[in-house]
Amino acid sequence: MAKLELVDEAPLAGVERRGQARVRRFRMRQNGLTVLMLRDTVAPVLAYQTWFRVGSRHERPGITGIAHLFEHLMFNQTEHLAAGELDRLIESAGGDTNAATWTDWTYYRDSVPAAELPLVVRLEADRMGHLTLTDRQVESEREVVANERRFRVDDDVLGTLDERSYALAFARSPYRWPTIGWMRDIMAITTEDARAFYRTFYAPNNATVILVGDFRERDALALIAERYGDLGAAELPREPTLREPRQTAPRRARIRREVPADRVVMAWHAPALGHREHVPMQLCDDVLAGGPSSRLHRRLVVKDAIATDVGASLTPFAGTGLYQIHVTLERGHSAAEAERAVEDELERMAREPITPAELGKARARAETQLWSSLSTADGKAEVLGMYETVLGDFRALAGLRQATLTTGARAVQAAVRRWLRPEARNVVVASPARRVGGRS
Amino acid sequence: MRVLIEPSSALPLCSVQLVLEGGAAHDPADKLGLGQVAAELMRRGAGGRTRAELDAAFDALGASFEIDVDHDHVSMGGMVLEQHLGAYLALLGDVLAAPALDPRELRELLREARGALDELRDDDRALVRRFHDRALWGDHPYGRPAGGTRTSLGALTLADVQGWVKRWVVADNLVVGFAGAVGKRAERLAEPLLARLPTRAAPRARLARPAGMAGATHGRRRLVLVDKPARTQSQILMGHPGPLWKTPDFLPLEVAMTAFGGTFTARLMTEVRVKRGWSYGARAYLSRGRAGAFSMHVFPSAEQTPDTIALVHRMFAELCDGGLSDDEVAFAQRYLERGFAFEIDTPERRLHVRLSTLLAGLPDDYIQTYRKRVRAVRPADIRRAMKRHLDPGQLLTTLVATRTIAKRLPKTAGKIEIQRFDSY
Repeated sequence: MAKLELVDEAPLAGVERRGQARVRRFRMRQNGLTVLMLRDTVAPVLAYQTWFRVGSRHERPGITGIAHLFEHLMFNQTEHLAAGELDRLIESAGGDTNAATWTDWTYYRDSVPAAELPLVVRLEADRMGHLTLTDRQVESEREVVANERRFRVDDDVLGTLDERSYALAFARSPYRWPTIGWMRDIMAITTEDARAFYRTFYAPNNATVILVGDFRERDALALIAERYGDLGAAELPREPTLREPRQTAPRRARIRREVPADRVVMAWHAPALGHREHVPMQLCDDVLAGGPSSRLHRRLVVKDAIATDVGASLTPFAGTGLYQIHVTLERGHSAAEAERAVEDELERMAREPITPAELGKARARAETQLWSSLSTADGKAEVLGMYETVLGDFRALAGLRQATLTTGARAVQAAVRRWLRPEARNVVVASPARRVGGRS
Repeated sequence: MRVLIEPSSALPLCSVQLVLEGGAAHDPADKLGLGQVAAELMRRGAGGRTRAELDAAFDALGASFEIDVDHDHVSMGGMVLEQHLGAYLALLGDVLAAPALDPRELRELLREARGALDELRDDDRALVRRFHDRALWGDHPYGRPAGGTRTSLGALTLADVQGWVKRWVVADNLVVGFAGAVGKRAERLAEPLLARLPTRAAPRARLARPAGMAGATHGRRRLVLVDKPARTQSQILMGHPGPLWKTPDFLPLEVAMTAFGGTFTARLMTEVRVKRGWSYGARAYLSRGRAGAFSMHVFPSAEQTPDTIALVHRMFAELCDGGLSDDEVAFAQRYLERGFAFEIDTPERRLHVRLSTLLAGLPDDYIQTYRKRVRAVRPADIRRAMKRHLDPGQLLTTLVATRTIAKRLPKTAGKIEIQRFDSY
């Protein structure tokens, strides 16, 4: 019988707390399946997640969106269960199931009462190894995904700007196409494409199973060994290159939408999650756009009073990612004004180190956000799964937390100089489709 | 002042919630948005600090601070690390008891509030809710937008805001909740807040609902088409007034809604999404606010909009005529009973349930008795509640779509009223 061996263990986020168990990593020698377990008995619930190391970066032009479409198809029938039965069994137990796909990963989430451990182990092992696909299901799910795309992108201004900024910023990286896929590609994906995708990427040696909640480790190990033990490992394809040539000139694009005033996204390449400058960029992001005391909020919304909203985001990608600043202009003001103000603030960040008060604020906010993200069993499992999948080790979270508490202002300044250069800027503007009134 | 505490030392984090009775439904008809503007102005300078200084003080603690104004309540609060809880409460105390209410900040705030209305028009989901509520409740305060309109915001003065603060921000009107790492003196944490607030009596914060089940739907089917150019998809809400959370019919009807449209395998999702792929989501639900409403939400492509509306209307009529099977009822009861563990699995969630049930006038033992009460619902209770509260003849359908779709909409959905998306 297959057996899971303990590989290592560490406290969650690197912090030992009284009454808090450690995260334990197991591996199944026969097929390479990794299992992370964190016993957490504060509530009689269980988070059971399966993270696959496959996302939209593993696609190719012409078949974009297949990783996400396939995620939908994983809720269909298997050799042992009729279509829809997985959902029905989980809901009948009082649980909830869902999934998500991004550039570097796809994960499946089951949140169930603690007593349902045998059920979720059975269901998840079954669809990892025994999914069946029909033309009718693929056709129906294509329609659902097309509607999801209309909802998230085509009829959503920020969704469209976001998509365009990736396409503009990346020339070679597979991050240049959207995870949901281009509409023409979504509609062209066939059942055979989906089957090939499943055979290639959905194997135990490409997955990590995560359990957080009120369970007995011995029972969980036995169940997992029994259900996953006969699944075979797959020969995984070579990883696509994530290298992106250094950008030497700014790029821009403009679209027309039914908006009352300009909306703009400015984007730069950004360090990968495992890059030594990722934490300095996170701190930079907080100083620029974290909370109402941030520099860009104070400048654009309060002092210059040209914008109603400003925000920013830094991707947690395995390869070179993106740092985006988005600004919603007030009526009568243009994206060009916002660009100038943002450039001013970036120049200042590059010229002078951030203040000790700003650094302290950014660290405190990061600490609050980290613990908030760990407040539920699902949240803990998601954090573990993300770091284990993107960086290959859940303990990287502890390293990043430590780096956040020790990184200094000079390192933030150096990161701004390296990554947020004016010539590396990508700007996408959505302008009003028709003339609207000025300030009133 | 009432204080609720859900202690837990699992994480070094504490959640603080302050709730004032009296939300946007109490704004005067010509001063819509007053509650929201007043609550927001309270955080723009307080306790001798300017807006910038106060923002910096909250941020320096790494704490979040959010304000939410719905029709019935004003909520303030956020998350803070346990070691900063005392400092955080001192800042909250300043916001409540010593807001600057600076006229210059009010001007800035009104400018931002008008901008927020523009932003809302980019969001079709928020837009359909705004028009649906107005059509559903008409002139009743529950039909008014919490954020006001461009015209009503223009009418707000500093005296209005001062009057609002004086009226509503009193100790008697405040509910305080703590969840998480509250330390050993939890029951005394709220004392500094209480000590600084006026002690006069709070006004009565309950409004009568519109008379009759039909509310403002006027006893007939209606369809409001919110015309917005270049839509590839329609955001659609359908519904009518429903029972209040605290009434006996609510739970049986919640079981019915769960079976009909409350889960991924419920009737609506199965027919609309799984079988036809017409909408990414399809659900039916009851709202728990003091207005009480039943809603169904779908968002199909423009092409599939007429068929989707016709299908949902037909399914709703079939539900009202034929009811639910015993299997469907048993499934929904199991789902609600067992899934309740996730409503109370963290201190923040337990606090949320306790706060919302307290404010809705539900008994203190709601959490302890919920599962038993779900189990006790009988098919006859459901049939009775459905008969009393569901009526296909009074369905209001509101959709954000491009007006060219109007001639393809099903005639049975009711008389079509077209309104421009930027008219309100």
